Amino acid sequence: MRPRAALLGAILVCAAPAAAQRFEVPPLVEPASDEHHVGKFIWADLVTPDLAAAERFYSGLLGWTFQDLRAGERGYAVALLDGLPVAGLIQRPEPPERRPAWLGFIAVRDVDEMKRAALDHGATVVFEPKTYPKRGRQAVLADPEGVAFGVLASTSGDPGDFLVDPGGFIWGSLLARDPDREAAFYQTLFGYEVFELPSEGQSHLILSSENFARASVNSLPGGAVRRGPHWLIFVRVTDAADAAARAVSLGGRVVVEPHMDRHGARVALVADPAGALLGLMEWSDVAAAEGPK
Amino acid sequence: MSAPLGRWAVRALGIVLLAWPSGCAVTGEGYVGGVYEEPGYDFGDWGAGYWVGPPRGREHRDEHHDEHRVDGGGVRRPEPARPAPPHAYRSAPATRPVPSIPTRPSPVHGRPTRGR
Repeated sequence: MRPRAALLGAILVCAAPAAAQRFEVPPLVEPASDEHHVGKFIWADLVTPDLAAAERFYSGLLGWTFQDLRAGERGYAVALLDGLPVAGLIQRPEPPERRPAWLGFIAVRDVDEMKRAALDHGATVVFEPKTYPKRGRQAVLADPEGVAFGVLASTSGDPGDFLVDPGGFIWGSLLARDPDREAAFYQTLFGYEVFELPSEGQSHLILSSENFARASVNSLPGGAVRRGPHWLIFVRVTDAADAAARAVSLGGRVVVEPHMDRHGARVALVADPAGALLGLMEWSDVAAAEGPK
Repeated sequence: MSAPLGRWAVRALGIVLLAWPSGCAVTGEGYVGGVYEEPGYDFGDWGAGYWVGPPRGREHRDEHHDEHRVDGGGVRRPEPARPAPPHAYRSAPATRPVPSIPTRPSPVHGRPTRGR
């Protein structure tokens, strides 16, 4: 019986974790479609040293649920909003002098072609392109100011152009040293139209594709001397003040207090318990067309 | 090793080999994503007037670009377009209103929310 017991042990060691650890990121869209929206933010990943703590925070803040793809020391969890995947949470040890961050992925049709074009225009490669069977092919690049962004060619199509529900990603803002050149870089890669909007002496550029605003490029806020350029991504909330207070009660902190923005509703910046920044943006159809107050 | 035990071992080995790639292999280590960034929360003067969000739909950058003037003959003519300042990017035509985000309700989502 001892050889049998040993074999059974081997099976359990390898087969049992297989069910819990199988690393297969889900498709973006189910059922799959042929819909593609190049230039649209379609996915976001958070890297964090403590996956369980991050899950507690974002579950309490945004109502997300999680599907853990791996157990053990390093994990990956898919965040679900009303059962649909919206983000990925990756557990990795925190390097010295670095901080956890959200990373947005922009829709492309050909990741390798995008990589070549980006390199031709001053970008660098952070993660080489890699294919995941159900998800598609993705890579992480850094723009000429060194700001990381992801590109993803989804094999199941891109999410449709609809207003996201509260808890979903609604907007991206690039805070840059040279908004002009950064806008040109992203325009070259993604074919954006670029619109200038007034913003008290600062650059406020809107990047659009398919006649939808996709992201903004702003000057770094005046006086921000200890912070380099970076992307901020925003989730839609129904009440930014309430969400910011909830973030604090869950162990996070408020970095920029809720205040009115161009669209006539409030935005705020919070940091999760590990320090990752996340934008909160109210978007209510009730406030539509009222403009900033 | 007896014959029954040998058959059992072959079956077990088959199961192990099937399970190995996803169970015992190092999976997900090479996931392309997840980037730590520089520390610091310095957002300087970010407050009222520093806007990052999208417009609420069809905002015109030059509210006066459609105004007409009356020349000596009483003919209303459009204002001549002002020269755009040079940019590294190609600016969208001044006559184009600035688009907003998609605002159609999703046929998949759009369910009652829980006060997020």
